[in-house]
Amino acid sequence: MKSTLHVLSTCAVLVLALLLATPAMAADKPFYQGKTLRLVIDFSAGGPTDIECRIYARHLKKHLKGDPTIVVMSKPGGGGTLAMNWIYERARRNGTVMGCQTASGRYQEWFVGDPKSVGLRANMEEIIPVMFTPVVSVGVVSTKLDPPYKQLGDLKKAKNLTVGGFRADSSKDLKFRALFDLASVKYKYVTGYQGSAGLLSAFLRDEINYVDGSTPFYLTRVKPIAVDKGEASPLWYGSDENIPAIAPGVPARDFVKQLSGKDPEGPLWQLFQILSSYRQILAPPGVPQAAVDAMRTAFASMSKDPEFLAEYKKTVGIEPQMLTTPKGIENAMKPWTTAGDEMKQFRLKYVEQGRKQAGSK
Amino acid sequence: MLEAAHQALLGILSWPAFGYLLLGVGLGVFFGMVPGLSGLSGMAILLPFTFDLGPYEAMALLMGMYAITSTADTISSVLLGVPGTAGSQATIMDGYPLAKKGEAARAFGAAYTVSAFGGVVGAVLLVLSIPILSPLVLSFGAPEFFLLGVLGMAMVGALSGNAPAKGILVGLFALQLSMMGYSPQDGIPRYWFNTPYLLEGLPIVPCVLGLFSLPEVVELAVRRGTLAEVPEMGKGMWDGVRDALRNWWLALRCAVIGAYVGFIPGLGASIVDWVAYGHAVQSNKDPEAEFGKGEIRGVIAPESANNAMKGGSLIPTIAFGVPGSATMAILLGAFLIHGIYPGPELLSTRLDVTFSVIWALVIANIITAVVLMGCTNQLAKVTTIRGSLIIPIILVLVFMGSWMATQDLGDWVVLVSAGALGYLMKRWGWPRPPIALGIVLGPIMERYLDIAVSRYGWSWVWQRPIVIILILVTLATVFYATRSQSRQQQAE
Repeated sequence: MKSTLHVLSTCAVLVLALLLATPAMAADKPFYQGKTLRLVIDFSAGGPTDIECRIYARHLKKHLKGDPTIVVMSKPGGGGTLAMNWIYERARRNGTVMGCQTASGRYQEWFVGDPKSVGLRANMEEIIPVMFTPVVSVGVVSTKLDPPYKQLGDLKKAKNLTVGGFRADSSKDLKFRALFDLASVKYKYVTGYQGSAGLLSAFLRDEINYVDGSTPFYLTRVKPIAVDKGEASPLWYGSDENIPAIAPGVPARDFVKQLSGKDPEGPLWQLFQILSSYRQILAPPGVPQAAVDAMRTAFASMSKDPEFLAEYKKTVGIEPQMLTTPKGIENAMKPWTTAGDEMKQFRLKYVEQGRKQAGSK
Repeated sequence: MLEAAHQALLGILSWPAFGYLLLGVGLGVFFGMVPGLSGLSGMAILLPFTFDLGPYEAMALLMGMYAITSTADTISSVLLGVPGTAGSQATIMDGYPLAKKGEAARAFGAAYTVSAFGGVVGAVLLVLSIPILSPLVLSFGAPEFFLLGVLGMAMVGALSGNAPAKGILVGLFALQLSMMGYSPQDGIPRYWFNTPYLLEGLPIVPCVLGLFSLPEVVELAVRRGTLAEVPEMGKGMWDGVRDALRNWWLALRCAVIGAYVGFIPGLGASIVDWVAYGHAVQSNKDPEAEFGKGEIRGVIAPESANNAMKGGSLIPTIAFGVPGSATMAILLGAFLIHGIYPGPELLSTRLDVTFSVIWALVIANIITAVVLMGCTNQLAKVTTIRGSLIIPIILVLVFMGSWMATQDLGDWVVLVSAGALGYLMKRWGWPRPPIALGIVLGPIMERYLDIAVSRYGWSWVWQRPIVIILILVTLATVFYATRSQSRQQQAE
């Protein structure tokens, strides 16, 4: 009897120990172990978002604990709205689906635009921002202006400055218009070009004489074809830090200051800051914190990996400035979250003004 | 230049580059044959695998695959009436009727011969263009692009059989459909019914699959027979090869059309086959030719043009880093990853890389034509399989192909709606090709008209020589089409 009791009590202790140990062991098990992570890209294959996200995907496996399988999936359409709605409404909320997107436009639409008018159903305040990497824009002008462009001051003398954009309501167009208006530069506004290839093509045939795009666009395409031959010169870039690779271009703030003689301020400058763009890893609402933490840790580790950095720099042209802490991301989002209704009305009016300026309305 | 060409040829033929070329060709056959997959999907999938390869190996793999998707896409276009890629939409107009007449092997023989021919012509034109690439590409601005769209729409008459009035009405309806989504300049959404899927307009792949493939599936199901409507197989592969050789002048003209449509950014695959097909119909002088009912010239024209287009589309990418399509954007990515910058570098210090691309294009086209010809007779036997066995396969391919457009349920809604429309149009004798043309050309015309007016006012209409030439060519096209229609009606 005594031995039976002993056996039973030993079994009970063992079961109890096992039960107690299981969560502890589970807690030790990496979140993504044995799982498949799907990264949903919001723009077409071959575009800058796609290329950058595929670099992330290739290196993420090494840094994300648990050796998960990583699958990249393109869901283009509606200027990124389709993918965002899908992430919000239909993606599994268990950490196995995340967006790898350039969703800054969606954030801008949500905070300072009219989300319904573009079919954005995702509540951007509920979407979980996991990682942000700033996308640095570079503005370039042709040296064949009238009179010819030699230095920044010549921009204000130009009689035929024609700037090209994507669409009157796009962040890109609003951004360069805001900057030129702040600097009191006169220009003719032509918009409707399809993609950066369409813009570059128009720039090369002198249909427009100003073009801008992200650093890879500048460093790998505009620079070798036009800048190195003396046919174009960089004007400004969207960063407060000096980037020698884009000289003689200057940070946007200095661009305005040098041309207008004063520090940029007011609603136009606020709008310019709202239009900042990021490559982002975004999770649907309700995703376990463990998944978010695992991803942030992986990206933080990846941002120090020389192999990743070399490939990123080779493709994008500059080193990534990844924001992987909640504080860093919160700061990046501040221009959007603190914009308010007044800025929303200002932006809508400014878009309307652009439509009239482009001459189609 | 000759030294660079020689060095590149040795580079491509050396091991392992040649192995990668063969691997690319094998994959290209797969990507071309399966509807919905295409050179674009292939490029996107293969690009990461080229990161660790040398430039010759990378170009051999990518170009081997890309060069021949428009040869392999003939298989499903002819056998199933389902365009394998966007570049073979027009091939189904006569390729599928030939298969129904038991002459699939003849269609393949002709298609593979002119595909290889077109591919080589496209590559040769690319080489010949190297010294004049700059002025050639830069002479086309927004007004010229708009007029090219108008010229494309002028083909509607030729693509409408003996019902030009119906063709024009359908073309106008398609232009209206093409206005779905954001307006290109204002960014104001139109006809989108609060459905974000429609914000970027109707995707062409589900539209074409619905318009052309679903009605054939319904017809095959109703007929309850085999795909070939005749019990005996008709003319074989060598008859097709002879047809191709007999029509070498048409193949050459269409190859030149293909190469030059290819070099214009934004046009390319979606319309090149229709433009070539329209040209074949308009320039036809044979009173017995029945386009749309199994005329071999209706296969020769688009198949020569869509392979030649590949060479042409490389021109702006290599010369300026201006990719004319998403596929070329990925190829550009491959160049950059290997530290090769487009523009002056690819035309001077790295001319060998440019030639490696050209050689890969030529060799892949020839290898594919020979290999596929070897399989032609076996492939043609598919047309003798019972319809009930083949219909499920076609339906899977059609639905899968549509899904690849945006991977949204909307793709299937568009497919089925276009299928219903296509069935009714076929039944009541309304021409369907103008719809495909209108949906592709509508946004191009609208975009560039907006830009042209915004940039130049209206002075471009009389101040730009190429615009004036294009207006005259368009008027001549319309006049010629109207005259041949009225002559045909008088004869009847």
